[in-house]
Amino acid sequence: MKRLLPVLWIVGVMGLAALAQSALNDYYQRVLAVIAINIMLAVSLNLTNGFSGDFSLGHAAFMAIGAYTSAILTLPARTKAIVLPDLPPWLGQVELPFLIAILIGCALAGLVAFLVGLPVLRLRGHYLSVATLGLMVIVQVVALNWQPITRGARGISGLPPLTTLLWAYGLMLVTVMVIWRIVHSSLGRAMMAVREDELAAACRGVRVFRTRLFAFVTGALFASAAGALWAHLITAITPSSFSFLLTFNVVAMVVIGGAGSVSGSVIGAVLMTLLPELLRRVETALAIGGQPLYGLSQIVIAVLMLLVMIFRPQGLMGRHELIQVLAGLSGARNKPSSAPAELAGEAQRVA
Amino acid sequence: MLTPSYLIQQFINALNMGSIYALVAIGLTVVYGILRLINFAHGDMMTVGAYLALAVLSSLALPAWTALLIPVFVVAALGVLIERLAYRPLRGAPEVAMLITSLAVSSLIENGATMTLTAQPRPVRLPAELVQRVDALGINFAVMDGVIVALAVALMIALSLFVRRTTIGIAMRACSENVRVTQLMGIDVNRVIAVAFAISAGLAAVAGVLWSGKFGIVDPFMGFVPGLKAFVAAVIGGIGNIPGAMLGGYLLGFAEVFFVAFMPPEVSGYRDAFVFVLLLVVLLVRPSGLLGTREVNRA
Amino acid sequence: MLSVQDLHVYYGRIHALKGVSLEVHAGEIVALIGSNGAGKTTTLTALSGLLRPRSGSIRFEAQDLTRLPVHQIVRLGIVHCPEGRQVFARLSVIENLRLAAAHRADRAGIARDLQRVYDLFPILAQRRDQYAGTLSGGEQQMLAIGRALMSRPRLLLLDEPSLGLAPLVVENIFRVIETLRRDGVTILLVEQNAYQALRLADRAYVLETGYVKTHGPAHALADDPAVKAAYLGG
Repeated sequence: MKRLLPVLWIVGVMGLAALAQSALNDYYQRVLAVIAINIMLAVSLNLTNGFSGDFSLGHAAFMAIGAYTSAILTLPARTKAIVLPDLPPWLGQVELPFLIAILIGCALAGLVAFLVGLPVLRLRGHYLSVATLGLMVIVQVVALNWQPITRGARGISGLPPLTTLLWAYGLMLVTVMVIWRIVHSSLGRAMMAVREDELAAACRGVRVFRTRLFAFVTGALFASAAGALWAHLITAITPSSFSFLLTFNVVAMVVIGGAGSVSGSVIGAVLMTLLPELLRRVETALAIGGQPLYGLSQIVIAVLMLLVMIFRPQGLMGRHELIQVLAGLSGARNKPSSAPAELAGEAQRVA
Repeated sequence: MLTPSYLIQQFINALNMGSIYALVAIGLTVVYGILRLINFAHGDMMTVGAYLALAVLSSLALPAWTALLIPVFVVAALGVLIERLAYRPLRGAPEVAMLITSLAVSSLIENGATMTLTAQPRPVRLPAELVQRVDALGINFAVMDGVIVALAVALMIALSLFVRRTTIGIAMRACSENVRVTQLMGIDVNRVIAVAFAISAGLAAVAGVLWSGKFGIVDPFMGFVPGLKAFVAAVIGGIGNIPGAMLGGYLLGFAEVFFVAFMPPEVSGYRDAFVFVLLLVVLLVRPSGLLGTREVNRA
Repeated sequence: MLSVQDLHVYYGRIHALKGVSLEVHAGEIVALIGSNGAGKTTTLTALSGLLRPRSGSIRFEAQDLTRLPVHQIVRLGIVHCPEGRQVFARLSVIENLRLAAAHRADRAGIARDLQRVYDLFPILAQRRDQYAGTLSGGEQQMLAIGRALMSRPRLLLLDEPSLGLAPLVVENIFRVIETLRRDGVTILLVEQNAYQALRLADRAYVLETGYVKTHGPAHALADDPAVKAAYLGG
């Protein structure tokens, strides 16, 4: 049963995605795809911000790297000759499949994360917050100025719309499952040990710096993949697409869902995608004197975050997983059967 | 191109930028020293100050100098209010809780400004006396340039005296060493923290007014990048250290202005990237900054 | 003067004090002795308000302290001189002293107390404008005690004043404690040096893993075979 569970998840989610892809109109498909992308972002950001305890604000930067890299690699050579005539010839000719382009973007983002993490992760955790925001500015500035590669402020448009619901939910599943495995492995426990007490973790043989770096780089990889999906969903990217706003919203998903819980991030991502989507309609509907109330949805998110920090700082899920909570509810009825299963699971992990 | 007058102009620019960064960095460092809070909403205090100055200048009913005074007091009060409502309930929570809260406060201010005032940048019209150019000490500069530097230096001297001489100033320094023990001295730490926030926000308001005067424009997001850069300045000088923030501010101002002035035009667009690469280099080479004490790893 | 009833204190999930009760009368020196982790420092920290007890009561004269903010407790005259000296390293000696008197309004009294501190510890007068961080360990302990005196204590909570100091300095510190008693300061003393503490104190409490194991007049405890064996090296 335990082994079958992931298979069931994959079949179920992909089946629903396929169904939705054939049955729903473009608008709903797009919202669903954005949900999947946001889940990827939130779950991967949670790896640092929730599990290893370093507060990264760099997701927009890594998304931008993934988006630009994959965009340049998938754009048809004919289009590139027109919109990006100054590309180096080898880049101008190249036309890669989506998956390869995504992977190259991931590699690049991972490398950048590694280089940033190297100096910063030896310091107090919150230096990472500033350094990663700085990274966001660096990436934006480079995207704005590196004309031959990025087209500067005009951005790159006319990307092939490769991000179908199958792609989005496929990669989302990969993200969630990989991170779930990491979090529930010895590495994940090392991360949490570092989060709780760095010194104590080091004393018990956890290599603190490596663990923190691993979490940060892994988060960047998945953020990059999500960026690539996003670029090929919207089909146009500009440097300002990857602003602080984007990072902030992902942070809100993690914080509201519950830092330190994978399912919390999933829930946070779904809520924080749907809520602004609804609020945006309110913004235009509440137009005062023909002026839409732009900013309202962000204000609601900010206020929500403030309230969560004051009244429920652990977020909706805290550090619990949905499965535990559900098991806890049903456990009241059939406790004897669940305890041995837990023990068996523990024994498996030890072995 | 490298004529003496060009050099002098760049020097004045650098002094201007340095003065503003220093004012913003002091506010960050004062609050960080006591609460270990990286206040991401600090730059937005600049924005609020600048909008208030704009409102005063365009009201005509008030004399021009109140365009500085009113923002300072209103924003200082706002800083105290924010501390009371958003940060004090989180005292004793993990450091990151306040950091997240400051992100939310920042977003609240920026989007609040967008919603009520639109994202459209607004021009700032300075009084004529500030725009005219003068010759002094054999240098030709705009009065505004002189005002920026003089005001910043005066405020920094005043702050240094305050922190050295007054009881509450000494208490602020004591708090930045150890809040618990400061309480044992019979000091009401909440009052000290409130004063720190008032000073921090008030200085940011001055910086915002000066910034908008120099660049002639105000928009809801104007404070974000200077706020981040001021953090770089504070880290260069040694975070938590007030003289360090001043030094870091001027160093950053000079580095940034000279980067733009002496690099070829196709590179100078990378100015902001340069600043944050500088941050990474400082964090790699000397994370405690020039004047700071060591603070490696999470306590 | 001070009456503590059934105090329970937790650090997170750790139950550090499990029902401590004690009395301190005006003019006494009361010693708290016990091994590491017995709850001595925790008791003092709860009295000064830095740690809040989960239950139990702390009364100073007629006043309940358990809800009072730390700085108000100091203003009542309960002054806590913490373990490990904890002087402000980047403040000068005089700034350390002035800060501790900052809540007082009687300028003449402050000047008198400053003179008294300088009389007790002449070295501090010499080092007046030096950063406290540059003082030696013994000098820092003197500053810590001097600083506590500047808050005009009626009840002084002294935590391990002799810890890690040279014997000569320790002697000096204990002499000062006796002087303070003559001046009418009531003292609750935590000491790992049980022999010295019992010699100095009127009464003592022996703490063990969060409980009061025994208490009584200091000389009686010093003769108690069990106490002798456990804390006085037989």
